[in-house]
Amino acid sequence: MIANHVGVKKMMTDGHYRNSLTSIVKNCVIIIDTCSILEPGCGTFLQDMLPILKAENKSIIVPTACMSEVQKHQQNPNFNGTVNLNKVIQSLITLNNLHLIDFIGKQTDLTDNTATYADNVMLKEVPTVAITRNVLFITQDKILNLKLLLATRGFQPQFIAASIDNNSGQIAKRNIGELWEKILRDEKRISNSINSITNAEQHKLNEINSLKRDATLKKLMKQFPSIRSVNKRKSSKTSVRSVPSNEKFNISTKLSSVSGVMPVSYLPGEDDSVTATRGNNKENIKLIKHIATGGEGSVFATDKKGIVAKIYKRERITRNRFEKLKLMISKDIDCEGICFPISLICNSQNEFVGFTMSEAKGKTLQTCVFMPMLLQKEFPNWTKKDTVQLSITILEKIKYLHDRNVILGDINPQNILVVSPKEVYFVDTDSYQVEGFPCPVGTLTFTAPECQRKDYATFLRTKGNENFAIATLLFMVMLPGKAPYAMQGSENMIDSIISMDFAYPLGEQKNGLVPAGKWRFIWSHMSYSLKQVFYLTFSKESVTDENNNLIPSHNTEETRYSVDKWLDLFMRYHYELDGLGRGDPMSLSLFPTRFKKGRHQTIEKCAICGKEFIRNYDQDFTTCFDCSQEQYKLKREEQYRKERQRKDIVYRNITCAVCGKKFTFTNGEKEFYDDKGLDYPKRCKNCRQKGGKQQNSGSCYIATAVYGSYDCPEVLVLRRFRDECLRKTTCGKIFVYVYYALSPKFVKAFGDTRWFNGIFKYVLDKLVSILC
Amino acid sequence: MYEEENLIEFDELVDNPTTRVPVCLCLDTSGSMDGDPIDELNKGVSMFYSAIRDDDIAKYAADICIATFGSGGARLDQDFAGVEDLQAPYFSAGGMTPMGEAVNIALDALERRKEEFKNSGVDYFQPWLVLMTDGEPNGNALELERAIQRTAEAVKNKKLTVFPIGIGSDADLNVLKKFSPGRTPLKLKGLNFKQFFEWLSQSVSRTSQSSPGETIKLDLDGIKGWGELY
Repeated sequence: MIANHVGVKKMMTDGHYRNSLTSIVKNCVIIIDTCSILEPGCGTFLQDMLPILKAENKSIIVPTACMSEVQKHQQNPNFNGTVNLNKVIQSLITLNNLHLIDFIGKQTDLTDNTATYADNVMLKEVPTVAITRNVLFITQDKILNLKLLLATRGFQPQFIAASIDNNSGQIAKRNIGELWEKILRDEKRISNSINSITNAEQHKLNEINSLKRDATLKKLMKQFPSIRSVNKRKSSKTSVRSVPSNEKFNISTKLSSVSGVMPVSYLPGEDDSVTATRGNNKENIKLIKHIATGGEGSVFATDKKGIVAKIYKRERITRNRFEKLKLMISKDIDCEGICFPISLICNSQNEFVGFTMSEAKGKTLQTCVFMPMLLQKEFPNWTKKDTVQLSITILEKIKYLHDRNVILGDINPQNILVVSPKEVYFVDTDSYQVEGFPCPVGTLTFTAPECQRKDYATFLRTKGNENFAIATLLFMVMLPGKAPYAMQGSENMIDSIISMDFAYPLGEQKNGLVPAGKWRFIWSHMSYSLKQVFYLTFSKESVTDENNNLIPSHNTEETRYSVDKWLDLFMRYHYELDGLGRGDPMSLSLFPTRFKKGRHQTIEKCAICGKEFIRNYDQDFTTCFDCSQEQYKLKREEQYRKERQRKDIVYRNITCAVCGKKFTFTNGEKEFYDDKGLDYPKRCKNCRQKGGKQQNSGSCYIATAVYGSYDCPEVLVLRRFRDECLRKTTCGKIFVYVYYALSPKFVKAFGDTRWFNGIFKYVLDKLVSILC
Repeated sequence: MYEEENLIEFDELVDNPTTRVPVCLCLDTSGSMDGDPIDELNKGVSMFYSAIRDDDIAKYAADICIATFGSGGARLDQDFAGVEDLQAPYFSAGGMTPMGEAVNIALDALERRKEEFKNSGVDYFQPWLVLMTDGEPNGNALELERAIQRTAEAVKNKKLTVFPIGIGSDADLNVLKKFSPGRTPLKLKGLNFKQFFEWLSQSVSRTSQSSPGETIKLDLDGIKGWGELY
């Protein structure tokens, strides 16, 4: 079931869940405990249930005391889940109004489930109902669920115990085995905690102890192993059946000293017959078709089905190779998918020329998995489950070889071929290290730091060295094609490997070099335990786990995780993926586009671009971060635009005191002058720039305003009159002074009006005619 | 499901973790190349691109840049990019031969690209510089000296592999020799640009399939198909 919480519309597409809910509503009495009501996911669950309850006209039952509990939490300022609590309250109110809610117990009942269990309302009331009716009981209290399951075991009607799954906003059915395992884990956690045990925790421990003595539970755990949690698999230790000696090689510490070229008279080719020897068996086979040629020799299809032959180049036919292959063939190595040497090939002159092996199929890991573009083309439907299964298949084969003391030596994506997640072929097996014969080749990326810069043919590798290659290979499968130390600042790979600059963070720990782009997201979506193991293998740091234990780094030859540990981890991860996918579907995707959803977070689809994003439960964003930014920007731009528009509207037209032309005076300008307490401008822009004088000393305000121009002949006359007559007398000077004090204001106030212009024009005209 | 979103927002450097093979082509497009030589060169480069595009791994590993010296002086015709985004260029011959300047431009582009690789966490093989000319350099002498010094230094420190190739009998061998102290310059057989670029694309393929740090063994036999010793 895909996790979602976005209302009724989404649920319509999740038919399966809706059908289950409908059938439950039809057939069961639904009782929801207070602690479940307070869970963040309950809001979603109740919203899902509402339409069904309405349709079937069925009610739910909640404890009477829970309503006051809910209100108490709502008023608590420290409570984080207010948004969802509001959802819950709304749903409860709606149900109440529709009379679809009933109450059990008394108002004064303790809602704190850690109080004395014997008095627990639910333990008394629920079985009473469950005797005659089917019941669905929802609580987060595992011990309560377990007890009720045990109590109702013999009952004829069905009793379903469930709890609210916060990740998905849906209910999840619980069974006895699962509950018991979780309870035991809780017990371990409480008793191992370094903080002192609270009263509530002590109660829990007491309860668990009394449950341990419960006869029914004991019987169930023994009788029905299927009820036991599926997580309890046989540990890898017991599943290693001891390998018989005819399959196992010895471990050597000394290099073989055999050397020397073995000359041959001719190399067989197509259509040639050769002899294949294995122990005492000898048979004739024919080389049919040439398949490929590499650096060491050529591979031919033979007349034996599924068997191919590798014929070495002349210079590669050495005593060392001969002895090594003889040794390899002497043990019964038989594993589907490992193209191990089967028999020695000699030409018609009985000269050693090569060996036979089973045929391989598929494309190299490099081509079809380690290049994301090609991966999407080759396996477009793959999810995380497929890459994890692929890892498991590869690990199982490596384990087969390691259990028999065969070291692959050169683990690299060119000699592992993939057909499907369960069908994988190992090729170039003749280079594997057995006993004193080293693997003479290696690949830089997969070579452990302690083996770097050494000639591969001169030393024997250990499983500890190989564990580095295994970890690197798994890393590059989980982050398709990305090497753990890819170019982390230093000029070459060798330095990065030796200095252990691992860029990926674990919880709060990081080394500052955050990997770019989608690799961060892929890393974030892996399970914590997987990330922890990679981190401990590739970085020099140690890690503190949730119980405050210090886990030291596992990055040396002696401390690296073995193939058994990796296999265990990946099988566990494979099992967990379903659950992880329910919580956050992107955890199943090979190339997630965002970080993993945390426990108190939820996934939303952006209302604008449709991309998924994460928010905390108590936030209510509806758009992803980028779109929010964009929206905010657009809003601001709109605001600016409106402002600009408003400011560009003309407040008034003013006549320029210099040139007499009318100019626009906008709202924006008016506000500017008002803010500064200045008088409004009297000159148009041009005149202001040219510095046309205000003509305080010489202008004739009223006259200029009336006649429209400073330079018109009437004004000139009046000016002459002012300069030559008025200013020469005391009275005149006073008049001029008063005139200039008053007329600007006069003009400012009335300069545009008709009556002003009319009256004064008449007056001034008269004056001018007298003067002339 | 979620893959569609990724194909749209594909950041060539970050999203493609393949170890890159950076190849700098430094080509003479001066006046003397006019006619058949420049024609064959164009066809050769175009063939180079299509050959690489046809190889699954080389397609995502090849990182190509082209610098030319001819009309318009020395210029960067094509900055480093993956073959998917590239269109075969078209050169026309003319102008002088400022070889030093062009090599410097190519080396600068390479340095920039290496920086980008580092920032995106991308590995790369030792870069190649292919230098082809049919005459003598007549650009700035100081620039030429600087270019020679830079390349010789890089080759000595194993940071660069240079292929100096002379076209025709008028190519200045001594200068070509200075660019790659360890390798004798080769002469292109006639105008066998196509064969050369075919060999080059195969070498890129081969390199892209090996692992970083491995010494790449070039197909020395294959060279005979297009080049000969002077």
